[in-house]
Amino acid sequence: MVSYLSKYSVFALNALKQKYAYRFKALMWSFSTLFNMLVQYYLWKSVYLELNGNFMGVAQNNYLTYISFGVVFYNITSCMENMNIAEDIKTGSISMNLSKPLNYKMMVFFRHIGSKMGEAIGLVPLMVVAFVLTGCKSMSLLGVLFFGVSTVLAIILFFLFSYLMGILTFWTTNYWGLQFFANSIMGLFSGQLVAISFYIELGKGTEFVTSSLSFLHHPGFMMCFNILGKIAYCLPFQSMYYTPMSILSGIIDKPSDILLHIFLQFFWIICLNALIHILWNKAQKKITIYGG
Amino acid sequence: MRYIQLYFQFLNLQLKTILQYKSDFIIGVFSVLIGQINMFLLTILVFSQMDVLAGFNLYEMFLMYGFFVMVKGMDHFYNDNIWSFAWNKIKDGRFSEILLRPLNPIFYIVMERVEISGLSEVIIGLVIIILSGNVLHLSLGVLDIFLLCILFICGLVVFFAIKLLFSAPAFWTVCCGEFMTAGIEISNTSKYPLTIYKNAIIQKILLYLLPFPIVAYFPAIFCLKRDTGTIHILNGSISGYEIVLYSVVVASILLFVSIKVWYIGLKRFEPTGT
Repeated sequence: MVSYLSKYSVFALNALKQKYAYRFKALMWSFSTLFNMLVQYYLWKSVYLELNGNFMGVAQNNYLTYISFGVVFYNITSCMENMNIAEDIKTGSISMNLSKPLNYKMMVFFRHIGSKMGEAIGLVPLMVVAFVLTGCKSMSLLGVLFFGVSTVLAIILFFLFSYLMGILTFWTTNYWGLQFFANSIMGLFSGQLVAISFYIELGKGTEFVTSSLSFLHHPGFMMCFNILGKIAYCLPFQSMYYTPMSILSGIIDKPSDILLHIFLQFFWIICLNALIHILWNKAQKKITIYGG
Repeated sequence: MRYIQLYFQFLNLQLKTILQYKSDFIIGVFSVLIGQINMFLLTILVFSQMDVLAGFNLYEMFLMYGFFVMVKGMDHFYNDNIWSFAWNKIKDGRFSEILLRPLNPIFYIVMERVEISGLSEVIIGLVIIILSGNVLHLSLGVLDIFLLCILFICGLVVFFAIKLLFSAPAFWTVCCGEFMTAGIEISNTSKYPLTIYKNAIIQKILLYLLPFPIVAYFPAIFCLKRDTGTIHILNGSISGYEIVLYSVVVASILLFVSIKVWYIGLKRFEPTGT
């Protein structure tokens, strides 16, 4: 086990050194996400101001924590290894990696973890601003503990999803398009745009609509959000963002709900692994085409 | 005059390449559409719980968003190539090639590539403006529309100047794509009214240093014939012609500064040897 880990940790260390050499870039990236955080924060703050601190059953402190730390969280979990895998496949260097006595998936995973650690310096300004903005008023010890567990699962899930996208490069050449498509679907169903619980609340019935605009009271409108909420729970994306963030911010606070959501994360890890296994076996038959 | 002729020749060449890469074009348009759907859902969701947000109702919010999409789309259409200057033109030595051409380098960078999918944003923005303007019963005279066009140009100038300004560090650091991304992300502030940023420092920065409210917020309140209310410029709220005056002055100063800074960078530019 120890030798197994030390074998792969070399990849992590390598990636870490590479990213750390360009730490100024990581810092600059974090500034661009910082503005996103501020826009979201002020938008929702003014929304809550109009509604006396309660938006569809979620209190102001909880949601501002969800939004602000969500940006930090996304920077920790997001995984772009699919781009590297796609490059490996297109240039043919994947055959070099496959001929080594190593597990390619584990190698990519450790490379990913290493590069994330190398970029960690970029998280500092984001964390500081998120702390200053929210003051962490809505966090509980239990929530933070479960958040830790859930985050580890989310990192693995994000990686698996990215790996899956990478493998798909065997069948499609336009991986930028694929990446883009996945990103926009993810924004909608992971809870990055708005918390999934809002879709579900609004889908329950038009009596929750307090606006005076008549078209918003139409049952079809309610149906739309109902369907969005259902689709969100049929896709793995909410396990990658909504689950950990809503545990941290206290949007999900009942222990039974927390355990159910964490169980769902495990379920998706197994599913994605199975899917990767199937596709990988198919791809290995195809791999002879790419001589490199 | 020569520049205008050249621009159209370049445009013509560009359009031909688009026919070659149809799938990329379709993906570009598709990406624009999904982005708009997400934004639409968010706005609807918020306004299902309230009538007025920071003094703006749903349609007024859409009007403002329409201006944002239109200006951003236009900028995306004609001025997308400056990204490649910030990311890799200096690194691969292609910038030295540009300097050898008998043309103004900024002009050359701008006209080298157009991003046709930006036009779909312009159309979407225009449709949003017209539809929401219709619901709001906006009554605009010929003069108002003329002034609105000036505001539109000011918005384009703001985008252009800030992109140029944030790409200039590339002369010192070779590549500054990350820095420019950070600068352009600030443009997202103009999706929403300036009044939601309840922080005096942020408001001041947005009014005088990075004047993105000129892109959408000021055109919207100009259309709605309102004044800026609690937001004070110099020593009071402004409305009508004063908005246009403010936008023209601020946009021109910004343009002047950014071109100056860019040329200072150009003077000390040393090719990387690639």
